[in-house]
Amino acid sequence: MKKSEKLLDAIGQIDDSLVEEAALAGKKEAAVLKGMKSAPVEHKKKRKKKSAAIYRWQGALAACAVLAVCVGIFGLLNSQGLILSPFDRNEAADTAEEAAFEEEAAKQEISAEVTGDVAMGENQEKTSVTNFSDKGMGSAEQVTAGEKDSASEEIKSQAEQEADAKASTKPEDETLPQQIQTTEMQQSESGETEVQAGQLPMIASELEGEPVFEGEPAESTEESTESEQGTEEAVNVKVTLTGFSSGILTFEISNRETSKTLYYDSDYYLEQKSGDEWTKVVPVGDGAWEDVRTFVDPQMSREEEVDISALYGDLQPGKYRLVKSCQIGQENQKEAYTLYVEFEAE
Amino acid sequence: MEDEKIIDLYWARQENAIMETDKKYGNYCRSISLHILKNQEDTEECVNDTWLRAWDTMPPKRPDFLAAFLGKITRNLSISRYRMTHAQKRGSGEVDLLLMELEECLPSAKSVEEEIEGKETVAAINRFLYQIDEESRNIFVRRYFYVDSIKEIANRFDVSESKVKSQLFRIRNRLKDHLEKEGVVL
Repeated sequence: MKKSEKLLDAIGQIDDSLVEEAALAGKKEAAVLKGMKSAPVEHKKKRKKKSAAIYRWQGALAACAVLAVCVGIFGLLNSQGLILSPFDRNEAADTAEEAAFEEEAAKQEISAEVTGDVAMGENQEKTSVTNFSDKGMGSAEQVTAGEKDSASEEIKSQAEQEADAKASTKPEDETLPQQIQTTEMQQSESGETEVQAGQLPMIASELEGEPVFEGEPAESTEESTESEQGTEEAVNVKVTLTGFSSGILTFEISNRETSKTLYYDSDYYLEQKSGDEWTKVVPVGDGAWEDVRTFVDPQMSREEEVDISALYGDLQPGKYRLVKSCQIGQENQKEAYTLYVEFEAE
Repeated sequence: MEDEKIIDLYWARQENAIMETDKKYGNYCRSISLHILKNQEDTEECVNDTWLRAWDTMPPKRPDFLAAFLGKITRNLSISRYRMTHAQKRGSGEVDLLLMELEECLPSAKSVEEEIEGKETVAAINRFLYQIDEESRNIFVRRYFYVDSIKEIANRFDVSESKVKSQLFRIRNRLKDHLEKEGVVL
């Protein structure tokens, strides 16, 4: 007889008072002890429950009432014009945006004209200088150049005036090309930044190194851990195969987390490797899982013994893996993972 | 009918004692047995065996808590039946089945030492259960005596299933420590 069976038998002999206490414990003792309680008591309880069910929607109704009151107050204030309608606000915002956009377009137009004129003037100046040096006709050419300079200045000043007329801001002829240059530089800088940003994950991954797994998950016969989302993560859970003989698989689960508790239930399933793929093995008989949850505290490990033959009978020779789900963390912030224990049946 | 009167019927060897017991505690015992066996026919047989065992034991016994007394008989008979059917289902366990059948023929399969050890274990468990808080104790008994599912316990005590599992895990660990301290070897 197994130890657990002995213990089960011993529990079957505990004091009657403990058995009686547990029989009457909890909220639904009347329902459980139908035979022990008289029928009217049960009926009363049922009726009480029914009446309670009517008031179950009390909270929802109260919430609806509060919502209706809020809507009413809002409507009242809105009708009195105390609240600015979101549509009005949008119209105002749209008008302001349109005005700003037009202003911007006007500026760009002016700056384009000015830049074009300045460039033209410079070209002409260069041509004139060349003529002067080659042909030795300094004075006449200088005069022409001077006239052209003044003409270009006139154009510039006209443009300035036009700009003043069109927009309230002053376009400065020297700052405009600078602004354009600055914008180009910013664009180029931003371009570089984009490239850098594209490389960042690669660099980060190089710096961080490989995900922390104990052993090689794919080929190792010992262990592997993957998250359910399919992405590999540095999970500090180590599964080590201890042995497999006579249909009994033993392995150790170590929780290397410093603060989180690892827990898992007794259920598992088996997969067999056929080619490069893992296929689920069909259990031989019927089975039911014991509803037992096991906890592994941080920095602790636990050895598990699984009788595979009980569910899958004698395994055909080949590579298998036991698949088991586990969870790490608190009830509200738990992360689910799948553990794999690879082994070979001979 | 009150428990005292039902026990009096047994002591008076009146056959309606069983009828009255079934009327009052039939559902309770069936519930225990059904939790273990998950089979209506087997459950019915187990409950009938319980009445028979009660008839055989009263007198000389006069239980203080009739419900617990009957519950214990049902539970232990159901577990025995479960073991037998389980051995049968395994197929290869024919020898186990034979041994279990033969075990029933023996007046007592346990040796004196085993019986004493068993009693010591029971006493240690009792001491442990009286030490722990009421809720933990009831959860433990509901799970390991009445064989209630986690869900049923959670519903009964109005707590989450997770909490029940955690609590049971801690109680098991504490019981292990307690039995080790008391020198109980299983």
